[in-house]
Amino acid sequence: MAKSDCDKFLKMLPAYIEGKISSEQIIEIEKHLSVCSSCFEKYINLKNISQKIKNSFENIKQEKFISDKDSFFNENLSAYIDNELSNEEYLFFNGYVALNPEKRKELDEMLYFEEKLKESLEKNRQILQKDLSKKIVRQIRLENPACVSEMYVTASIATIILVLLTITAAYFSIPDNLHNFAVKAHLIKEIKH
Amino acid sequence: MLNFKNYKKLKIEELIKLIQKNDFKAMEELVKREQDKIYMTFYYLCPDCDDLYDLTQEALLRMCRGLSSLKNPKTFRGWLNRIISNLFYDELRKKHKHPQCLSTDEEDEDGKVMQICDNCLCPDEYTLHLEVEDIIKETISKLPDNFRLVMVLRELGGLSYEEISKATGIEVGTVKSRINRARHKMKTCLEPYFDNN
Repeated sequence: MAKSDCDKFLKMLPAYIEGKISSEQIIEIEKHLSVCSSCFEKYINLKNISQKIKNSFENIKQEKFISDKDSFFNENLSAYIDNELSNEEYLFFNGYVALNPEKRKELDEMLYFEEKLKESLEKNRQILQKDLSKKIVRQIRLENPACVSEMYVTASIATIILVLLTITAAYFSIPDNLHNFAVKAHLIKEIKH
Repeated sequence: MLNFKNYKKLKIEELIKLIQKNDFKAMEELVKREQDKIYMTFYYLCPDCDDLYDLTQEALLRMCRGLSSLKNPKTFRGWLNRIISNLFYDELRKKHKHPQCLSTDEEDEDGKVMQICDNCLCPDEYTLHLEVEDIIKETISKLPDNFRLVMVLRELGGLSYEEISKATGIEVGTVKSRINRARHKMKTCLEPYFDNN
């Protein structure tokens, strides 16, 4: 058996054990394992190690929960109500409560309390007696230099327009007044005559 | 160009984006929506405070000033509650009160966790005219400061544990245990009143 062949299959072994290779590759690797005793031995060793690691992980997970179910329940009751448990913890919590009527009762009481508390807080909703929105916005506008200059520009434009209007109005009203004055003067002259 | 937006129908995120473009109408709408919630939070958080209006106003001002630097509008709720928490801590400092119970989460020399002191209101002490809402306020106000903070943010603000952790700078595990203990405490104190009502 060529060494390069063995190297190629050995690299594929972990993925083969995890079942993460294609069916063509599985056929290829199994064909090689059936004829190469050295690779087969390595495959068996690797599989055993992998299984052992998997088992100890499972044990740790189980132990973590099983070691003290009672304190797990007590410490996580609020987190369960607030929906803050991981999926794993949630399943464990549900399973534990289903098997313990006393804990079920305790959970129900806490849920009832929480519901009543929320109701009361909602009922006692405090409202500000005055609306602060206008005051706050005015304050922020004053603090914002861009807004202040914008306000000045607006005010200046308004003043200029006002001045222009006054001048125009004055300009158009002067001839009329002069004309009226001339007519009046003429009438007075005629009356005197 | 004249802009006839119906600000009342806009979502908070949309309002924030408009405020970041210097739209003051949107700012006014956001303040209107948030002011009561902030006031209510301080009402339970600082029951001894003389002027809740001032506190609310300061929180709103800090909110409006800081909005331009809020990168992700979705984090608004947590961010706003961080402002509230900071003001709450300032208020505690003003009263020369050190935040209590930092040590209550840790075990003492005997390996025991320090207990929240029993401030339960005895039903006999209360005359019938007291509303259950007053008793709730009293019970919340008697919780140690840091327990009260996480409890109010959870029950009134509806924040997740992670958001509370970010708003207060307390670790998620500690938030979880404080809420759990505060809720058990409150349940023991308030149960008689809820049963009667």
